[in-house]
Amino acid sequence: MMRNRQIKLPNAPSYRGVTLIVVIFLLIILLLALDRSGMADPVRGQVQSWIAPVLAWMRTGSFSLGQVSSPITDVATLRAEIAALQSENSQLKERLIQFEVTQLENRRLREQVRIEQERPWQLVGTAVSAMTPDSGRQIIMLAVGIEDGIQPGMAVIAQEGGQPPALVGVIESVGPQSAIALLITDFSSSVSAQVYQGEGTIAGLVNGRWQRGSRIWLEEIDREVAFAGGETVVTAGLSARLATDLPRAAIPANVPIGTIESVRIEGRSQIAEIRPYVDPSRVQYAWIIVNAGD
Amino acid sequence: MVALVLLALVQTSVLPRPYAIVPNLLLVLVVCQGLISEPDVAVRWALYSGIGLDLCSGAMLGSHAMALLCAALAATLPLAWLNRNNWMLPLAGVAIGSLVYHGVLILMLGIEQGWFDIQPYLLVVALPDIAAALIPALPLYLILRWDRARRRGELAIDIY
Repeated sequence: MMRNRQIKLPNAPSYRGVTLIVVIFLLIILLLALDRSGMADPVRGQVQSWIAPVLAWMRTGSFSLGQVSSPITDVATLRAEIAALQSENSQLKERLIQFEVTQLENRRLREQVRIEQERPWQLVGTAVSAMTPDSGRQIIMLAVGIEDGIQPGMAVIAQEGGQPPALVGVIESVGPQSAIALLITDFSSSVSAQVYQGEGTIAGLVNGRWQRGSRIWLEEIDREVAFAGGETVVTAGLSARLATDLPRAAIPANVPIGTIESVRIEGRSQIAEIRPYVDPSRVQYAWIIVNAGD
Repeated sequence: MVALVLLALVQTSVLPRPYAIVPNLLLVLVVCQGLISEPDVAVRWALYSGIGLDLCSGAMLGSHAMALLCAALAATLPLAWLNRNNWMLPLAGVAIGSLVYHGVLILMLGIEQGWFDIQPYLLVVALPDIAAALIPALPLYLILRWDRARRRGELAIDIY
């Protein structure tokens, strides 16, 4: 064991280093400005349309295909036999993976058909290609875009276990072959919602609370309304009128969101904490409602 | 550069997310690289990694580059006087870097989407992320240090 002798390292940036840091800093500021002004959108859309299929491929596990085979170049008979067997084994494993992928696609398509039969919606199914690189934001990238008929404001739904297909996010921006969806748990997400109670409905706003230490809350509810707990919260289809941030919102009414877990009075209104039917951060495959069928 | 963009692809797509906590490999890598070599190398890595993350995740272009750049500078400059054989160096560097990284993201989030109470954010988002970043910090630092020493023909001496 040695003692730290506090050796001073020549780690301070040189003049050239400082210049480089300043240049990169300015470059990043320029990128941010270009992004905010929307001038970077065409380039970003094009790059994302290249990246999205790769990301989707990586997420579905297809990249393991490359690990299956290994070339053998020895001329000895035994080695040749081993090579032949390995090749056969590789092909079989590849077929098995393809079979599993087909089976998964088949299961997802059957789920889609079932949802479309139960609801008037027309859906486009897609794998989630990427998620945020940290927990700071709640957005996902989907492997479909303008070419598939996707537009900003469309509702993204998913299904988990025995739960009904439920709203997980809203399309925020679209590229040629990729789309960015803002999850309903993000603090900037706001969706009009309603709770069926007796003869009427109770309206409110479902706001994301992830960055504030929770999931989703139903806010702006009349404080006179009594809740028993467990009531189903569905979309109201009023986002286009209520949320100024989502001028093109196309979320249809009656898309399930979750159930009321607890309620508390705050000021002149009530706030209900919602347990979502689907945890948006765990979604692997989602559907976009491209036509509400109204 | 290509390796960093590939890592960005991995971080946004296949990396496991237990309890929605994301191990920020690129942040750890950039900070460790800054601690081992010169800060300007870390700054270049921060730019490539940040743009990779922004493109792969659909976040505002430049936001992660800025967060990584500030994290790299904040972690490497104050710790430049410490011996790079000290095992505490990567842990302290990654902790400072992660804190600054989230500080910059909060700032950008506030500018872009409006301000909010940062205390829950720190507890729910930043603290778990910092803890998750500390886990690979030391092994990654040792690998990078070993690789650098190998290239330079140095002999690493660990100090406890």
